[in-house]
Amino acid sequence: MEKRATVPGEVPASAQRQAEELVQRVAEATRFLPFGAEPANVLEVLEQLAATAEEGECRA
Amino acid sequence: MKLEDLAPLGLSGLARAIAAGEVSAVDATRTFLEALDGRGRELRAVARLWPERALAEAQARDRERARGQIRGPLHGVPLAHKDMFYRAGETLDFGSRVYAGFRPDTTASVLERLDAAGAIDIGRLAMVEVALGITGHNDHVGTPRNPWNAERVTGGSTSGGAAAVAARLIPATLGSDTGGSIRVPSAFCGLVGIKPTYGRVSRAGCMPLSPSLDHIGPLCRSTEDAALLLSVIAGHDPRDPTTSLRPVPDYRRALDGELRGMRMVALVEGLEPEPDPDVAAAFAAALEVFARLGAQVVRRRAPDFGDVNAMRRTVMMAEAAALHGPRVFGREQEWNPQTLARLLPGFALPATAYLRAASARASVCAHLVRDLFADADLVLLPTAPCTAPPIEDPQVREESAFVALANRVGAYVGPFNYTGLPAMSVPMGFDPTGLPLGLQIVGRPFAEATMLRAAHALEQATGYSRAEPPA
Repeated sequence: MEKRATVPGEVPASAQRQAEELVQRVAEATRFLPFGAEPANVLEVLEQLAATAEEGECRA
Repeated sequence: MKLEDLAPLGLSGLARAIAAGEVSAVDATRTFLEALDGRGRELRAVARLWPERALAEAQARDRERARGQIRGPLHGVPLAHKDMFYRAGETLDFGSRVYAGFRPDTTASVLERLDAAGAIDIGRLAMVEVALGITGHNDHVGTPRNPWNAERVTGGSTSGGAAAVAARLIPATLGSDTGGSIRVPSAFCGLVGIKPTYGRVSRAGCMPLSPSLDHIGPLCRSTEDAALLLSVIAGHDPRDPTTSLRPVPDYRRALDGELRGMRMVALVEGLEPEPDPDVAAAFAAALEVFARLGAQVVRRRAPDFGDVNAMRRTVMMAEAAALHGPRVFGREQEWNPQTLARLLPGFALPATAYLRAASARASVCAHLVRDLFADADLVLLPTAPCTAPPIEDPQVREESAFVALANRVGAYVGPFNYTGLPAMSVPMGFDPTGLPLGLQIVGRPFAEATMLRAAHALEQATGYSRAEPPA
């Protein structure tokens, strides 16, 4: 792989293309997001899911 | 003391032997230091060794044991870790030229836990540059060789650690996993590697790559060793506010061989890319073993992981670009081209894409848990669609081909970084050329014990973890 002589701050075209593909893919994948959705506290989500599963096991 | 006497003991066996006074910490430390300094350097697995401080610590552990004082379950056991775990005052490079000579003034919380358990920290192992790479390539500090076939990569980014543990040059190691960097090297090198639930193990004092996705976990030769190491490092850490307050079980108690009634969902079709035939055959055989052991195995189509992987890459690239940006532009020649190919797109991602990918995590995680775990305790799929690629794979030298290779190798592991679900790799056999294959076991949040129970049963039934690479 050739090393680039990049102008400081410049993102090469190949990286731009990768980013554009991701932007499109994310836009498509997140079209279901409700208005107002914001980055979640993942630990909190996992704790809630674990607690729900444990409650289910207790009831069973 | 010879390596061939100590290596077969594994982590747990060595800890027992030292605690019983059958092996001294000094002998063990000296033996593994010599092994890493010799064969370890041949494999390009070593970043740096600390013989003086390690032997001084070993002498102290032996004196303590002579007084009847055992610090914990790893008393006197030498370990070495990926070159990204901070030890106050000791230099690290992160596998990188731009961070060469980085000297932290703090020690990683996981190392403090290992210290408290009595382990001896003898050095640092090679890694992919700033942990950004799933294949293991690193032209600058050397690409570690796979002990099962020296022409093959180890997988990355915990490349040197996987090589050293597989070659039996160190009993176990810690790695990091942002998109498979524990599980893929474990699969390619025939090891047991665990990426715990997000929040189960502290990341304080570990080089960050993408804080939303980074996980710390063990790479070992057996489930018993992995359970021991995870039991020591897991738990809440005030220095890392993303750690859970949940109590930590002794994971070794899960290794009871009991699978009757356990419900497993096996993703046997719909995986993109499709697994190679050897991988698919080994996966099918592993499912048969689980069924024979009494587990209820339901085969189904995989959900579409493509979108999840795209969102994981978006989060990772944006966060990695933000972290490493100040050391990138104007210093491109100091970076590996393979790293730049993964890092530079992060600078071109708009904040809106990052925020949308980050905002979807909760719903994607909840959806996946509902979809996959509605009637299952565990989800099974191969760790990687292929065996370890050649180090000189032509795709490595061409940017878009390398990105495609990396995305292919990591296709099955990334979703569980994005969702934070626990996942591990355990050996499930070999291809006809003798390269190891890994089974990925995914659990519900904080269900590491259930994962380990299943992995241990497979290990006991097949014996794959006992296989040794050629000398």
